[in-house]
Amino acid sequence: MSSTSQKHRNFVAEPMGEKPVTDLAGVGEVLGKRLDTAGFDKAYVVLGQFLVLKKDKELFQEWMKETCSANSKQSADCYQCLKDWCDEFL
Amino acid sequence: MGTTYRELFKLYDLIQCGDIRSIDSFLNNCQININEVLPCKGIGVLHLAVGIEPLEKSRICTELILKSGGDPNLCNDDGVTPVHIAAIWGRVDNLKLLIGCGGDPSRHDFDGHSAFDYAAREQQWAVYDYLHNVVDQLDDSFGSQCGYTLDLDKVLVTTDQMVAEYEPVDKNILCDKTTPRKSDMVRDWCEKSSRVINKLYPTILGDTYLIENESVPWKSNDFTKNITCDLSNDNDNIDKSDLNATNNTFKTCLSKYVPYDVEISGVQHLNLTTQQPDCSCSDNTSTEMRKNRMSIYENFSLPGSPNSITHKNYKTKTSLKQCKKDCLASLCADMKHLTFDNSSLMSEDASHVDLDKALIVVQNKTNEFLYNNITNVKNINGTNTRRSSASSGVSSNCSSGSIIIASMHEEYKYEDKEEGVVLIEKRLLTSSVVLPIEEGADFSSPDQTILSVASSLPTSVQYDNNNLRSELIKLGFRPGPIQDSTRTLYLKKLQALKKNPIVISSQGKTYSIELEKSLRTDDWTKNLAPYIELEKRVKADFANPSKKWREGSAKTSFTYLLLDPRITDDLPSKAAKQSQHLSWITFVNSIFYVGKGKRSRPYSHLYQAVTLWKRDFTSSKDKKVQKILDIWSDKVGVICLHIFQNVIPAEAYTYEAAMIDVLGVANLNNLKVGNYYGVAASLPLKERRMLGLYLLYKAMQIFISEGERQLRPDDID
Repeated sequence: MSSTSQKHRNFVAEPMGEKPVTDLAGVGEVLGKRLDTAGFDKAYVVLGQFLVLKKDKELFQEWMKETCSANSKQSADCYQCLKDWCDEFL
Repeated sequence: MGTTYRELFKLYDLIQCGDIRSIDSFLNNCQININEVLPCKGIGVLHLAVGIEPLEKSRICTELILKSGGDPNLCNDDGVTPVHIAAIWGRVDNLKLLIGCGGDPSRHDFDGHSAFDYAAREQQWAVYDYLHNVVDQLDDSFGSQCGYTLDLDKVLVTTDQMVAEYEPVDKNILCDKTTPRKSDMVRDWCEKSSRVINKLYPTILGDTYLIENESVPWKSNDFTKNITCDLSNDNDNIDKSDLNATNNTFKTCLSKYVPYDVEISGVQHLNLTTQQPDCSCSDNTSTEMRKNRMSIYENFSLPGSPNSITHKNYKTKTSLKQCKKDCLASLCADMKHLTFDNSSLMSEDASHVDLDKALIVVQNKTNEFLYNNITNVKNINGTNTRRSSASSGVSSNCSSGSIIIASMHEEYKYEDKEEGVVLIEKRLLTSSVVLPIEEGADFSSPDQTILSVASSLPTSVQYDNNNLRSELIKLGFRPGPIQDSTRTLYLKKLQALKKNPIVISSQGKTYSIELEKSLRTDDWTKNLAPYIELEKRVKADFANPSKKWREGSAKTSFTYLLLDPRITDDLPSKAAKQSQHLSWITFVNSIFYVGKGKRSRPYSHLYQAVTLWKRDFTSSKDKKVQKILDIWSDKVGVICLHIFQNVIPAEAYTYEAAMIDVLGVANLNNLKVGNYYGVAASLPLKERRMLGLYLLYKAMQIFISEGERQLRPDDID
């Protein structure tokens, strides 16, 4: 398994509360902005979408690509981040 | 607890009184555990229900209780189960229900007696026979009577749009009392077809009727025009009320379309003179039973000159006259006219006819039909050549016109009178029939062809959320909520799934290592030598006549697989279009039972399920029966694949065991792993699985070449 980024570990370390969407691993400023304009301003909104898609990796990545034109690395990071968070806190 | 017993005692009293209506409402309203042994009485309610008088009430009570979840293996304090009681009192009907619901006839009570022992001791021979035949499936080896009949019920021709249904009509004159052997039949057939044009033409009635209507234009117009009229009228006329009459008399129902008219549309008048062959569709499983059952047969020898055509017309007339016995008076009259019309026509038109062409078409059709039947007969040599000739002929013929691909189904009726079981066997033939349509002909209803072309295009259905969901589920994907935000994603997913269906088993089955490997890649099929070697070794041992085998050495057994048609989805017809590996995965996933059967009752493994089905059961404790009931509830038939025919019982058991091992008993609805005999018994597990794997592989090839046969009880739909 490849090691996870600091951002990933930070996110997974605690409940997400009201964290902005940019706190998600794989989501930087640019993607964050695009997500924001699409209505996904908080990390928990993205989590909502993640859950609605039943934690399906393929679908989630496809959704990321569609909404904020994320590349596969970014969307995979974000997916893993949310997945690990769910495993921890859900 | 106290209430439970009070309720139970109430139920007990109701059963004793035989008050069926009260019992029914009681069971419906009361949510109590009926699988309790009543104190003082020392039995459960099911014990009582099985044994009460009179028989009819007892049967209904048993049925009601089983439906409400009664446990047929409930032991009382002496270890006696309802199955024992049914055996002691000789209640065969009840016993069938109990065993169908998972009752175990081999269970011993605390005195060490099983249901068999009781049946023997109480001299309940009906019970004893039943237990032996259906449950134990002991082979009665030599001279065992054929306990069933298998008759052609109907032939379905399906195109994109239309379904034509043909039913054979009994004609006693033609029915041979003797049942000729398959090989004889096939030889006869081949001989005949070499010098005679045989043509399946089961719908003479519909046809004659139709031509009668057309008689005027037929005479006045030129030839090709007539044909087109005919085509269109086909649909119109037959769909009209006259259909009823047709049904009554001939039992020929045409739902929409008569493809045989179309296919030789170039030579319409020949239709009437073309007669039916004694089409004996050879049957794989039951080689003995054969009857000529198609209604109107006649042989139509190759006409060398127009004269011979007129001659043949008289023949037609006579054949029609024969049928008249069964006909309504009015229709008879029609037909008389027709034959008359036609024969006069015949002499007039004979010179116009491009006879050669006509013959080619008819011949091709014959070949095609012949092939369809013969695909089932594996041991016929030269099938391939016949096929190629047929198909090439057809394609060359069709190159000028548009074509419709029709697939043919045959439905057979399987009847076991002793057991009172009727099953419908639907065979989806692997080769589709090509129906050529003359292009030059101007159709009075031209949309016919246009429609059929259009329907071959991918359907661009507007999916609403529910549709989308069901489509996805059908493809084995379980979608989350489909909302505006997820809709497009799922649409994309659907598209992707349609291109690449989910190949990994969705039920989370894990097979044996050997099989898992084979599911990942199909490299192993490139080197089958070790497998073949292994199979040879096993087989050689069973050929040794000096050994004594379990259940004797009569070659009357076979191994069968039960497949789920909802998973195979007519695999044989798709197999040619997709990679073998994909077919293999589908095939392996669809298997839900492996068993051994004997020839005298090839479908006896479905009897339990039929017994329950007839009584509207929807659940059973027996996993296999449950699965079969589920499949039937979905209005499809269980696919029953008989493989490795004509082997001795021990060999069949060994093959069964090998296949169970490779699939893993947990992935099947089999209760236990099988037994190995002979040299196979000493093989290491790995080799046993290799054997099983190879046998499965062979089974798939048989399946693909044979086509699907779905078995369902006769009252579905």
